[in-house]
Amino acid sequence: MIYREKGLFLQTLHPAATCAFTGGVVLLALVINHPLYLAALLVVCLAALAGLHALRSGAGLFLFCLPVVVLLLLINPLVAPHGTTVLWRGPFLPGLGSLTVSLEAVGFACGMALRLLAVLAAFLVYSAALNPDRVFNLFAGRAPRAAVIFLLALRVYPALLRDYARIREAQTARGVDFDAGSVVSRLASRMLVARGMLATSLERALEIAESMYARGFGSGPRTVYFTESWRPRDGLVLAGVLVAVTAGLLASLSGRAVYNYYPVLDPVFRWEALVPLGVLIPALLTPALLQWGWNRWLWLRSKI
Amino acid sequence: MGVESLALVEIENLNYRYPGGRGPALSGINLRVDEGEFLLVIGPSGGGKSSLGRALAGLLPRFHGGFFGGRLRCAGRDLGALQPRELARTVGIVFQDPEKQLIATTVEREVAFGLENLGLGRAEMRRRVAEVLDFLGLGHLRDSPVHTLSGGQQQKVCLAAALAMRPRVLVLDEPTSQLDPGGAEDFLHTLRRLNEELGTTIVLIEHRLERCFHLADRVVLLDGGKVLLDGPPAAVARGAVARGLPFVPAVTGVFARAGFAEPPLTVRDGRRLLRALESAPGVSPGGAGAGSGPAAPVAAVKKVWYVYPDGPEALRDCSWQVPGGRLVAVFGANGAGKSTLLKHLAGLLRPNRGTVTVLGRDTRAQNPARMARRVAFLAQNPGDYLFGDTVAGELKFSRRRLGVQPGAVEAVFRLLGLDRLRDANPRDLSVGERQLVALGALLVGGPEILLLDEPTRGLDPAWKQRLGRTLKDLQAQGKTVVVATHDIDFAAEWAEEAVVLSGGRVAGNGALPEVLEGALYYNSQVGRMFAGIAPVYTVPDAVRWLEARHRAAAAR
Repeated sequence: MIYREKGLFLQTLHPAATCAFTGGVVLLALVINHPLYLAALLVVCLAALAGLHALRSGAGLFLFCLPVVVLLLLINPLVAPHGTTVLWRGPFLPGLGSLTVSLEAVGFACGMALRLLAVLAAFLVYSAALNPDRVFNLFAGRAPRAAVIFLLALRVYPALLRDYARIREAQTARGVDFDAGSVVSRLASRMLVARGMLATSLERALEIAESMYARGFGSGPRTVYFTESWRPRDGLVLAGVLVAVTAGLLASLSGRAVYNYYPVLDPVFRWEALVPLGVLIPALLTPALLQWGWNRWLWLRSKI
Repeated sequence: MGVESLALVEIENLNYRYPGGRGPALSGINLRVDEGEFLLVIGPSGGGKSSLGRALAGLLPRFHGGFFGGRLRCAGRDLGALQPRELARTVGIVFQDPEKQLIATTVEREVAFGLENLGLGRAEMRRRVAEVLDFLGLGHLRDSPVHTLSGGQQQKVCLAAALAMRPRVLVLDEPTSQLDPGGAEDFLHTLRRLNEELGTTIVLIEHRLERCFHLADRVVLLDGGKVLLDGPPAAVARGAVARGLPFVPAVTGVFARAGFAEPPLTVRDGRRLLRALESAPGVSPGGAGAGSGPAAPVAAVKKVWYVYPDGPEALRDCSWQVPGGRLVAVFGANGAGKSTLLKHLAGLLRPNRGTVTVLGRDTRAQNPARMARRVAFLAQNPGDYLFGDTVAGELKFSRRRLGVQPGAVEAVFRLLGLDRLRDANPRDLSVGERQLVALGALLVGGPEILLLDEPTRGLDPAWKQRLGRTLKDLQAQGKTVVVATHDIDFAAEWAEEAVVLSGGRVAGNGALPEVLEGALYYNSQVGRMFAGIAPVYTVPDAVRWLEARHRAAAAR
């Protein structure tokens, strides 16, 4: 998904606040394995995406990842020998042994799929909320070269998409049928496009580098044109993230957010797990709630 | 007593060869550019123009490496001895393609990028950014994402980014080659303002001579890496015509070829001369394609509607019949639907509504890859077609894909005169050569219909002539050629029929003289000059008209 300036409240957050939100969600998704927590992380990200009017474009990427999720749901139950509640017992396969599908293995696959979707959603929020130029400025003072590489990498992606469409069309006009023949010949056809894209990208890279050199890049210490101001809204978002991360980590360390998939599934709803979740969800909903309030109350606008 | 001009740039015996280059790109160049001068550099592709521009910007040999000899001084200082930061403050450069120069995502950040590199204070940066954006009329686009701007606006942003650094000299390397006529006109007008109102020293490298020849104080013609001609525009035009070189505006070329000692440089001056000759007896010109009868259509577009995903309606109730065996030009502003129409005829796009019939078959029932043997489509960027290591390899690949006899490759080599490039890497070729190789790759299949999208983009006048002759040769073989172009002069010289698209619909259609008659925007330079005087649109007709009257006037 590519950043589009829409003039939305969530797009005005300080880059550090947006990075903190994304980082916080990803950290919690990687540390915690409880399905309720993972589902909650996914929900808060979807709420932020709704505030960014990016649910539709995000849905496309979710669909793109769907095959991976489906594979996860299919393969893990078949190859994981753990779990006591057997749902299906298959034939004996050499090298793999007896195929069995257990409820626990299915549950584990669902948990991992949730984790994948939560991380993906967090990055979608980042892409929709943060102008790459602002990220560039955030790091431009201290690591200018790395920041420019980052900025160019972000610009390259849409350019590559355009190159792909153009070169594929040109090759079709030369008689290359991308949908005909065996898998090998189809792959060979796509390799032609890849070769064309590589050559075009190298030419483009050289020209951009020349333009940057002519404009004095790398000629000495840089200054920064834009400064980011830290506003109450950024403090609120950061505070929310800190509270959520603290609650999540404490819950994980204390075992409240630890979920055992094997040998039998733990009960999902337990009071000791729900209490930290009651803190984590509203804390991480701060950006979406602020966006909601921003659209409704002038008073809130004047304060944050 | 005249005021002695100050040399801002002095070049003495400049020689340069690129790393791995077969010959020198620049050879024994001696040149000076005065403070506040507008210098136009012209010449054939590969003649050394861009290399000279890069040398002036200090990029040779610093960025590209290679073998550099001679002296290049700016404001009394050796460019090679300047620190990179000083160099960026001394010479600014704007390249051909804006998309390959833009770094940031919004206009304001893009203009500020160079200033940040110079390490300027924030207040100074803000002042310069505001100043330059307002001067170039980009203030209202300050926060706009650069990808939403038109090509002309993007190139203006690149100009703003260079100007904000306040260079002593501004070098522009074919800045309008990727722009439509409107964008190019606006951009060149801006350069004129910069030169006249701010006294900016400008070195402009251009192919669109008719739009900028008269703007220059001096013109330099480079060929083979050497200065062939150097002087005021009129003198260089006369010199070029005397040598049989096509590097003059169409208007100037017409009068020079008709034997006028002082050929005019602009349409306005040309019209004054024509008015004086109008009363003299002469002959009526034939006109391009005049007298040719109706042709049976080879393709038809009927009530076609097409909308791009997330885009505007590109074709709206569009109907047109493609006359067989003719060379047809498709005119229209950016977004008028020219490329979309051609892609429909090639089967690469399917109509949302309506039908497209090509060679008697509905394109919806055909596989576009299989259509390629009978209908060739050459898109705007020939590089998209080329991925092989040699030109011969490219053509052989097409032969295998299109399933034709081996002799087809040799026939194309002969037809296009590509023999000397047989073992060259297509990516190392000039724009014109790439265009020809890509065309060759399509011709191998022996198509009956050729569709070319902006084929003259980035071509110098000599290459345009070669392309025009090639298309005529193909037409003589019975092929139908359809060219979507902004280049009305090219179309006026080579096409017989034309169709004008506007807002996705056909706004005009017929024999070229009929379409051009009375047109202001969609008319050739010659057509504009002769408007209201005689129905003349092409250079050969204009030369005939002028010669007849010139002789009659001389006899009297």
